[in-house]
Amino acid sequence: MNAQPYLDARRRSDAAQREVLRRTLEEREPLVIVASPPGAGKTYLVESVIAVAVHHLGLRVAVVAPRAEQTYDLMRRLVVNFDPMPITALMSAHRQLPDDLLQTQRILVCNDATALPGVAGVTIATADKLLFAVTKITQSFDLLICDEAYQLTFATLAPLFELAPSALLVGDPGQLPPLITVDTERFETARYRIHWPAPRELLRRFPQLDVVRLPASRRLPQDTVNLVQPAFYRQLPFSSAAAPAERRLQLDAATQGDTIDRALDMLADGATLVGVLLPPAEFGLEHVDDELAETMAAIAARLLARQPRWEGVRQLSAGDIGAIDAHVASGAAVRRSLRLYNVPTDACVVETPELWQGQERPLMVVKHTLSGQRQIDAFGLEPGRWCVMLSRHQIGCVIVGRDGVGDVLAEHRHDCGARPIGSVDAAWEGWRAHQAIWSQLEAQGRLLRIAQG
Amino acid sequence: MSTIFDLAARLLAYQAGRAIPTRRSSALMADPIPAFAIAPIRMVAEQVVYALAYGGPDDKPEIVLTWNPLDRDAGFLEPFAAALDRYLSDCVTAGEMPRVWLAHTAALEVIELLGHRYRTNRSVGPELQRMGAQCRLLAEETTFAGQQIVAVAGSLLAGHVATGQSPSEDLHLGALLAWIDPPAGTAVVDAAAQAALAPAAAMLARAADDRVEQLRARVASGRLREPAARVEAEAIIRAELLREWNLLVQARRAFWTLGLTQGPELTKLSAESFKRVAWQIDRNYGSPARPRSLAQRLDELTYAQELAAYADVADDPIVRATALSAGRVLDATIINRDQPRRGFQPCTLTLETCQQVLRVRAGTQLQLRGARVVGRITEVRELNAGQSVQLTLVITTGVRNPQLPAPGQRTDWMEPEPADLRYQKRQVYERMAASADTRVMGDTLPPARPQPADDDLATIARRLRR
Repeated sequence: MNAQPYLDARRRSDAAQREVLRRTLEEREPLVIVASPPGAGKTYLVESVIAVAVHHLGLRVAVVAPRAEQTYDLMRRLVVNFDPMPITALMSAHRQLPDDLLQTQRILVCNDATALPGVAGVTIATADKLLFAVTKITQSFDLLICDEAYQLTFATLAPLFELAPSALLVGDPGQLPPLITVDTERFETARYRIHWPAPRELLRRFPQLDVVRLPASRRLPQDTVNLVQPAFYRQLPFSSAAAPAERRLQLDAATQGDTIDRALDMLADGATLVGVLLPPAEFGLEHVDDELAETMAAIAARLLARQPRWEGVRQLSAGDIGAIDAHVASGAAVRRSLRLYNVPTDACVVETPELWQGQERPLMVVKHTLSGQRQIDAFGLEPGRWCVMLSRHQIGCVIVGRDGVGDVLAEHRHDCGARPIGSVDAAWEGWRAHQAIWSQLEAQGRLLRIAQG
Repeated sequence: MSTIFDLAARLLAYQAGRAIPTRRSSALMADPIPAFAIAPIRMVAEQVVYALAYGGPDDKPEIVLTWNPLDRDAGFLEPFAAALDRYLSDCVTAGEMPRVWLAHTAALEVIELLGHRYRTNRSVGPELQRMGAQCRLLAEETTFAGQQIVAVAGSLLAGHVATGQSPSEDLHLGALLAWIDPPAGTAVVDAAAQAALAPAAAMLARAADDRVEQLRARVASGRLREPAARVEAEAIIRAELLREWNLLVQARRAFWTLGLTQGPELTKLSAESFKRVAWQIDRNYGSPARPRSLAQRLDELTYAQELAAYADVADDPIVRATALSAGRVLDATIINRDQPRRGFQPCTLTLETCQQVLRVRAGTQLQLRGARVVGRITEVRELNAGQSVQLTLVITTGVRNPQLPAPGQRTDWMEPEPADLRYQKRQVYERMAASADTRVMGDTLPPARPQPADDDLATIARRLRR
């Protein structure tokens, strides 16, 4: 197979990273926005900028991310990948660094923003923590970096701008938007869309801003990109930087020949997104569907039973399989079923898309967000949620659901009521993305149905 | 309310032939004395008001009306403006929460219309401008979840009972009332259908509207003298207005006769509502427009929503049971309490539950219902092949609380009361406004400040990696 397209993708990716370094640290542009598809090396890029800024240029850098776990992950990577640099974790007194980070003794924990070191180095905090510290910080930074910027509202990020003359915002525009629980329609007509993801609002206000688009996903195989990119990233063309030969699944143990095995065989044959469908439920199952949870667990268990191997890389174990369920309660049912199949749930993690953002596994089992629904709701249609679920795998992903999703999508009547000009109709975008993915899977014969009974 | 729960409640109501309560506690604090009620009538398809009935809901209403609102003379509203101002200002001055009753959302739309129309209207006097500001304030208040100032009877009733008809049929207050208090000798479905023939939408009935329109046209064409036409039109409007007023009075009475309890968390919602209105009563604020005010408004709305949701679960057993079935409330027995020094940290509880649906995981914060005892889940373990679940909960607040549960005790845990961080955030937004960073406020970005590097930075980045 010709590896040239994948090498070219990597070269384009390197060029984009070089551009970010130049514009952020040489040009010192006041605002650089990087739009990244899933697995394109966002955190790698952020690490590189921090290392050059601190080690080479002697700058003071502040880095924020939406969640504490994301900041810990960045700290880990800085500690492991680079020579020691001054790293300060700005965090609340009631929080503690994870043990592995404490043991490195390379991170200064600071609970008081007035006591932040004034020398070159990087200060890492959640966006909320730095937000509340703004009024106490006396010495400005040279550079503000925001990782996963599309998960933060403009309201959260805007007060942080005054901390540094240059800001670098890196994020994935296709993933979940910031969580806002109130009706925001009235804010859609305001001059400032403070509830929008920060990069989106900044691009609306400064349309001349040249966005750096990372052009290649190092995580997703091209087969997945072919489905996910047109559905969720129409404004962000990208390809895979991983050649199919690097993402091959080998199943060493014999097959039982049932539907689950046929789905796994399809994965091994190079189809990276396949669906396993149960018969439609008699009643709409709002959240918890025990039979579906059991099927998800059965798929994970069967994968392990068939001794999966990432060809040329390693034997795969329970820790290489992840599961996503959009609801906490039904995720618990999946965990319960996994235990019944003796699959360790501390290794085979079951979580919601919100917590899977920024993570990856070779193999994923995900529950379709519209499974069992008779009427589609906005939660199920949210495109970011579905996008996260379909973009965590490096080798393959099995979608599990109740049959009938295609019918529900076809019967869905979209509320075409009046909307403020310029507002994004997430429900419509979600319907479109769901429809595109489902029809492609159906047309390509990737939906396998488990017979009744 | 979940779809299944709502459907089941409606089926039960249908079977019973009358509405059934879906809450045991009221989402509305008891009426202050005095309360104020407004029943408006607007012109169909025009943004103008025919008439308003107002006053104490237990009293005979005052009425202001015009038979020809298209002449743009708003002077007839002045007595209403004075009465509304007197009521709201007296309440705020006395530190008492005001309560304004409206029949339905259509009436609320008229109040919003008055606010929009007169708040900054230079062709009317300061009294009507103030009325506009106060009407806008009332309409704005309804956007806050759990607000206690404006009671929209139809929405309140629909939120506390389930009928045997569809949610869209419930939007007609008359039909909704027929289900709550079915007339003897008539099938409730027929009674509701009959009630729905008369409008409950702050408008004249079709025949009345046609007649008033006809009278105006005849006067305009000189075929009828104005005094006679006016008398007849005003009588029609008055009768229609009193129908709306009576609907409001009946709906309010129906709500209070549901016999719902008053939960303790309602006082927090009332205090929030009062603070908002008292702060703005003399300030004719427009819609937020700057980043600072917009961000503050978003915070206010979010906090109100979280507090209202918390109060609902804390105060109402039916809401709590629904939350429990969705896993948002945890019903668990205390198995062990590990607190080496009584009254001090650390304190760890072991809980066990057989609840089918759980919405907790490591890191979830929970509050003991009815007490300031808060903890964080650190571990979730399944027992007996998934028949029950054991949870480890580290208590973060309330280790000295006498209500800290002891082993053997059965407990309800729920999402904690939301933290009120609005003051700190306000300070942050003020600082943001003062700094006037062009990336936040400006239309153009500040210029770049190039600092040429000697070497290729990407190469340096690669070299720096281990």
